Amino acid sequence: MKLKSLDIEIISTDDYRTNVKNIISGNIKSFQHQNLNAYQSIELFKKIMTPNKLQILMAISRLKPVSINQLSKFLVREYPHVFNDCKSLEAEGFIHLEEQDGLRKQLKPKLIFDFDIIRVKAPIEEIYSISERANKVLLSEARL
Amino acid sequence: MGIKLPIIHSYKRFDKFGRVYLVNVEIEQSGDLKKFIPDGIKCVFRLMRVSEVNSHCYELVVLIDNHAPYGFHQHDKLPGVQDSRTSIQATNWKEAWLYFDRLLEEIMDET
Repeated sequence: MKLKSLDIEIISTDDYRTNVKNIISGNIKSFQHQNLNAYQSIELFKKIMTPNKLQILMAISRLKPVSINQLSKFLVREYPHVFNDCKSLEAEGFIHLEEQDGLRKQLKPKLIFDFDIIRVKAPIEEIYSISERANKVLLSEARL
Repeated sequence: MGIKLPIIHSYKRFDKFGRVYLVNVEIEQSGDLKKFIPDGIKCVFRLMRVSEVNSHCYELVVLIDNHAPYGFHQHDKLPGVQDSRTSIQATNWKEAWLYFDRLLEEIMDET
């Protein structure tokens, strides 16, 4: 079973700027970073991707909440904190908040695409299991 | 080899004081020559940073885009005022991205 991965690159700021200049000038033979989700360092990724935000991603993937209100109930967390984390995750490119028609305009959180894992391409690669499917694969391979 | 669109970049970095910034670049072919000036390529360049007021939120610091009727323009009074715009010297997405890149470095050097 092939899992879908949201890849995170770790690139220094100098390398990122060089990449941008190469794209703009057309001075590259192969365009490696057409779609890029990158961080300056692994420390920055871990600062931004808190345990609470990871839980939100897992809950969105597995429980499919129809609103941030429902998501906060699933997580047993206060709505304002979950709302702030969702807005941050949207700005950071992990989720999309979809406006729902209705008497009260609700926001439905959705993953940016249906990724199963987050793969951080650092010198020591790290994998975060997000979907139920990813967990099943992991448990099956571990024979647990 | 030519550059294929869309280009979707998201880059997170610190400034020299350890404040978190998000750089978002979206360049995609829309086909709508009337809506996205001059060539129908939709361009959005954003710089966001962690808010000083609420460290759990981001605020928009730089926004450059090219929708009609303005063409390439910068929202020049962010984060406070969203609707103030000024034209920028750019005729295509590459020039706009160069302008945005220079602006980023000015901001990073000042902060």
